[in-house]
Amino acid sequence: MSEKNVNICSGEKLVLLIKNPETLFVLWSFNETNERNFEKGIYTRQVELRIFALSELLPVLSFKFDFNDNRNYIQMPVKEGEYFASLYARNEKGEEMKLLESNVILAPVGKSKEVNYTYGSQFFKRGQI
Amino acid sequence: MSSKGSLMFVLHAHLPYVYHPGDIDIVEESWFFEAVVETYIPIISFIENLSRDGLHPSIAISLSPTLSAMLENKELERKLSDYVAKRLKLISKEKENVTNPVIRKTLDMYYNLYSSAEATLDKYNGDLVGAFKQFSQAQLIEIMTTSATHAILPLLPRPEAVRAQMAVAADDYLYRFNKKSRGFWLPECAYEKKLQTYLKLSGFEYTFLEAHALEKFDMGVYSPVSAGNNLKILARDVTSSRDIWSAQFGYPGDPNYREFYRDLGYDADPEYIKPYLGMGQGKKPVGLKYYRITGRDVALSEKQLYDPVAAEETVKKHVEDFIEKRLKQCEEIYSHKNSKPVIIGCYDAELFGHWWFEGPRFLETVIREIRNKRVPLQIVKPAEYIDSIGEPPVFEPEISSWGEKGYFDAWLNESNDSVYSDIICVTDKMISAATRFKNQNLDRLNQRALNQAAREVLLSQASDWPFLIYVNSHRTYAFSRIREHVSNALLLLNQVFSKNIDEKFLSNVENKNSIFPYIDFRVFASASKF
Repeated sequence: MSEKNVNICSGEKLVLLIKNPETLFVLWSFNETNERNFEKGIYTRQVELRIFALSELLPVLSFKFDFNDNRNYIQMPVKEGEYFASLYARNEKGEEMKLLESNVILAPVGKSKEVNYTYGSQFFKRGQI
Repeated sequence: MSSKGSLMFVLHAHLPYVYHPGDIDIVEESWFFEAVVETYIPIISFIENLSRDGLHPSIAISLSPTLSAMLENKELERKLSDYVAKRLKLISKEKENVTNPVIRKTLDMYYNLYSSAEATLDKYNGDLVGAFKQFSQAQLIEIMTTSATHAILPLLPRPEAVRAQMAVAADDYLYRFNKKSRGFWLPECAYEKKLQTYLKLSGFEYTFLEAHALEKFDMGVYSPVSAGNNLKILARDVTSSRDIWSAQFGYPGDPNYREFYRDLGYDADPEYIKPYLGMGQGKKPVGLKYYRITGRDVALSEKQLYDPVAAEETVKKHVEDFIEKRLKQCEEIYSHKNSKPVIIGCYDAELFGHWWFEGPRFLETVIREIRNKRVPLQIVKPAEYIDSIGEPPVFEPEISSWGEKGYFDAWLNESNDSVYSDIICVTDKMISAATRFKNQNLDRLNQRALNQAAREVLLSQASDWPFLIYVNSHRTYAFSRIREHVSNALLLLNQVFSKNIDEKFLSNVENKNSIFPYIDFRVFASASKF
């Protein structure tokens, strides 16, 4: 979970970004109605993030978070292919609702390089004394 | 003697858009002044020197749209002239006070550097983009573009946003150079597969990737490949790049070279140096650095004096070493692959001169030596090389960047990921607005407001902001720039939707963030010209 930050732009979204071949970054925000539903306890606090392969019906990965933990790093699906995520909540009766659906990402194969890998941007734009 | 292979030098020149009209002594604007004096003008000078001697430099330069806009900005030009004049005054004052003969030699060197900057600005009437344009027209160099505000394109989840970054850059180049850019520099070489489609649809013919994008290709990085859609891929050679890039193993770390971090601005008596620091609190660098690297683990206070003559001798030694290694590398590759390689060296232009002070001299000398001594290495520009090789084999490159750990970690991690919510949110709103209004006959005021919102959204997407936050350098400024652009775009979009445009506010932000004069907000629309 990353540090908390106050954002100035509001709108509902669920976004997947590739950080590296092992890690996906997931980010979400709810519309006002859903935000209120969480705060009033109409929805349970826990949300479930499911990762689906475009070609399959069943999720390949799932993760549970508090609805407020809206920036997370999760593992990448192991098989190369196109994936998207959906975010689900449950109401007080235990009924499940899909609240958000993400963009589609193309999961890569590969591994992060060694720390001493010769990369281009090792000279910072402005160094520190 | 026939060549043993080809060498391609690609310099990526970029700075974020740091223009603060009406303000003086903005620290971030000094990035621009320093880079002009230490990097861009020395590059222009060495291209002129080589050309004057009948030698083709044949280097490729990617000029980012944000840098180009700053180079063409009249107010920044005036501030730059003041900056140079102030430095020349400081050098004169130092010459009056300093008796040490070694420092005096260094002062002569700085006098030449800043005088040359003044003369070059005068010669091109302040139009340094015009200088590069002349070199390109004379086919001495090749110029290409990069994404509009240097966004890391794989970190933009909406295709409309990726296309806008590319299309605005393509139009900006066309407007500036009266022709289309054949090449596209992917910021930080950040690549994922979907980009090849957008690059091709935007009219680009080739791009550069990091070496490991092609690690499964049997010819490795020494021959271009064609992605599935015929986009040509050229990959950076890590071996030759390490000689130049690596602070640890590379030439720039030589003890005889100038030490970047020890600066007169920090060493001098505060009262003495104050007139040259400008307004604001605290010590700042002034660009006069009298010390050499001395040794890797030598404390700044223990550094020894820089000697320009010793540095020049070291440049010669490194040039010899570089050429010898490339010849050997070509021979080895040929013996394994039975094909003459192209060795592609990609570098941030600002490495040469700004970080590695002797870098422009090194590059000029490498080219001069290869040309003059008829070393069997061809120095080639990307487009001419691609035109000369026939159809390269088809290969699908992998996701990659030249950043830390080879992917996007530097621009997306716990230190900076909080910025993406706003950037993605305001981009979504821009796409919605552009799609909603794309076929409407808008009056001039609404058109202006939407165009400015588009500029602000593009500026919020610059890779520089999350990078600065990550390296904890100018972190507050980086956060504030994202906030400013997101906030401006939101206000303008709200004003358009509520039919209540504040013309004074619009004029202010148009004046401040005055990049991309011919932008059309429709570039963000969902069903675009693609």
